[in-house]
Amino acid sequence: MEDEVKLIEQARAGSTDAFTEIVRMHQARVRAYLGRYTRDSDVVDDLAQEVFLTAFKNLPTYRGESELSYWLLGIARNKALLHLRGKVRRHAHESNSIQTILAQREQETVEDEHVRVEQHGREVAALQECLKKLPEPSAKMLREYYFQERSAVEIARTAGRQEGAVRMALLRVRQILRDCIEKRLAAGGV
Amino acid sequence: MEDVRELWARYLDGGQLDAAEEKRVLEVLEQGGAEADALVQDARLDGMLRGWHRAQEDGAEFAQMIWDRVHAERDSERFIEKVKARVETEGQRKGSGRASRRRKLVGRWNWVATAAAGVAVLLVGWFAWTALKTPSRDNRDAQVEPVVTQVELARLTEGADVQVRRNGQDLTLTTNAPLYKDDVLVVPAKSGAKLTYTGEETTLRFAAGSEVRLGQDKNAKRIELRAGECEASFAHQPTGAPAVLITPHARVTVVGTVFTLHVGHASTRVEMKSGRVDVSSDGRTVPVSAGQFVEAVPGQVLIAKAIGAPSTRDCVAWPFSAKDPWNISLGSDARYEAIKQPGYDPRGASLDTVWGMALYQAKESDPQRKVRGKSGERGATFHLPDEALAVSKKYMVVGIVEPNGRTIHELGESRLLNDGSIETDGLFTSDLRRDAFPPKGKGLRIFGGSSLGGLIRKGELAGGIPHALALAVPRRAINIVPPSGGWSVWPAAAERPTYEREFAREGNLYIGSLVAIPPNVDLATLGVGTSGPGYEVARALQDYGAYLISSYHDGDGFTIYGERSVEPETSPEVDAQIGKLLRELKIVSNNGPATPGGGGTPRRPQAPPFGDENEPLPVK
Repeated sequence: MEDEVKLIEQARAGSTDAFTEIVRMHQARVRAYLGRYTRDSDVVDDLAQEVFLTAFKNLPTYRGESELSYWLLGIARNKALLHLRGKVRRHAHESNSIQTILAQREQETVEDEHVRVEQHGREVAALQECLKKLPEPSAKMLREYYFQERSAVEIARTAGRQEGAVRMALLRVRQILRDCIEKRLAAGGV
Repeated sequence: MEDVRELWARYLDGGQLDAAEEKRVLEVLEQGGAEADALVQDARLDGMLRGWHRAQEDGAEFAQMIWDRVHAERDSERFIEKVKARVETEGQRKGSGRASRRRKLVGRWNWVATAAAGVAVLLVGWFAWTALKTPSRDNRDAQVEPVVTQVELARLTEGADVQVRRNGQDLTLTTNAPLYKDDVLVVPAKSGAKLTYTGEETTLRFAAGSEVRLGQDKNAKRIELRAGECEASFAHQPTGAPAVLITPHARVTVVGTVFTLHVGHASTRVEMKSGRVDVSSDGRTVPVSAGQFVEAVPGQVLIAKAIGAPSTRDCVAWPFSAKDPWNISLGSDARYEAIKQPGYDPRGASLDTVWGMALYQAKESDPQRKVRGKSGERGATFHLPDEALAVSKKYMVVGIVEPNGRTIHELGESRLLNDGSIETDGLFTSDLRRDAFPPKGKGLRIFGGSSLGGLIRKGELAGGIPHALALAVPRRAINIVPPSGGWSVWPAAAERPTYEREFAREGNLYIGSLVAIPPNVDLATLGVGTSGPGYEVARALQDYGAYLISSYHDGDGFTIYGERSVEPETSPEVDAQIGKLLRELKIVSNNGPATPGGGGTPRRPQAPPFGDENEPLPVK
């Protein structure tokens, strides 16, 4: 924490290295938070850039009354909300699709969660911990699919499995992760 | 019937749901309740993980992207001057307490001005500006105006005096100038220009007088060539985000390839050097492969043709009629279904030139031999080179093309008898200018037609294979009793096999089945490169497919046949590359006499005619 305060001071003083370090420390949480509301990784990329760009511009106004990560997630929340509002508006005249229904639900959620950014911060932290607890085969599959960007088809091909089986396995691993996150949040951990 | 969760898993994986499937998922979502919540929660976690993954990359790289955006946002000389002035005046006003930092800032400014390094200038200027502003409030919710930003798409790597219209302003670019989304470039009438996309090998070279708009839809390129000519070399594009080039007459969808695009007054011509694109015009789409071109003219049928291809072909090098199944490419209406019990293994894949066929061109000077089957089949007398007889052995097919250049005699294991005649295990004669699949096949292989059909020929592994391939797999993988009756499916005409009991009686792979790589498979992702033997076999499997014409006693082999002269072009590496393709193979389920290749728009142009079609048929 002390290091972070120093980094903020250095960044305020014009150190690009310090701001880069801040980005390095917080981008995972910010991206995961944004990904919660929009699954399009390109949009997540754009929004994450905007979050840090906004933070960069407003760093002099940050007084340290809340943790920097929550301050960043507050910015992320606003970016996500703007994005979702625009998306719902753009699709307002179209018949329902899975995408629009998801966007509507997420918009409602973000609107309701005005003061709950801290909770999301804990959720993202819980995800980080739960990922470490996954059994190796599941962790390997997640690494390949999400972090190495291999498709279900490619994973299936390598593992000699059907692609549908890989998709269902991913769904099951996500369920395990959700259960883990909920338990951690309920226990007040993380 | 798939469970909703399976549909959901497919949806999240980016797979397409058809209307009925989407309706089922929507019903669950709209009903609400625990099941809908579970799906939404799953989507959120999926999104979090997707978002998370990119954070594994180096934070410095991400930070650099932010600096680039700052740079792009403030990419005007006027703004730089404004920042400079602000730094100096504000610095003076803040007094001596900040003198040290001001000196540092001004020092940096001087350095930047000298080095002309735009990014550094802007960062320092921006930091200085924001740092000197009096904090107004703790912006915890950061209700700030959205930042107008631009991301560099490409750089002008060759060319000078290129005009660009950007944000309503006309600018003149010099070499190495950055290019942004929605820039409209006008290349001078007397010189060309080349641009290179940032972070990849994609280059576009424009002829003099070209006009182009650089669009971008998320991570997919949308390049609008309004006039002129463009030679494009595309690196492999992101999966699901093919680049698209749009002209007034056509739309070209690119995966990863090199081609030339010429926009004329009334048409657009696309010439392919390597790879493949889909060209659309007037509601029709045709694939255009390496060595082909297409001319998109509104109101005219869109047909891909070979660049510089001969108007005729030699029936020995490229045999059988243009309407023969071997020469018909897969069509846009082809339907693909999974092979239920492949029974082969990628490690058993090979290109076999030993058992494919040893082909000989007989000369008038070769001795005439009377050849007859050992089972008393009708014989024939023809010129037969001695060397052809010397290589004959069990299970091998030797092909003898008569001096007329169009009649082929295919012989099984053969023996020279004392009277100078030949006894052979099998004899099949056909006309290389006609169909390889006669109604009642008596060919030497189980499928019934000429064994020359589908063989990879000399040079094709490098220059492209213009026909379907011939395939053999283990008998236990082949269902010998197709539902349509008989022992094979169209176009094969198999008779009851000798080893009937070695075949399977279930599964959907039959003698005569056409297997292929579906069109949605990006060949560049299969690990066989984008040229060379493995790639050409992949391309043939995607454009024509392979007919199952023969079988193995056992093992897990997967053999594609080549003609004997191809032997020097084969290697274990080629076999391994073929092995990489097997998992992509599907059965073309609607291949039949009414819809050869599945029907619809063919993926390849029709085989050219033979030189002299009116020549009398010489088959004896």
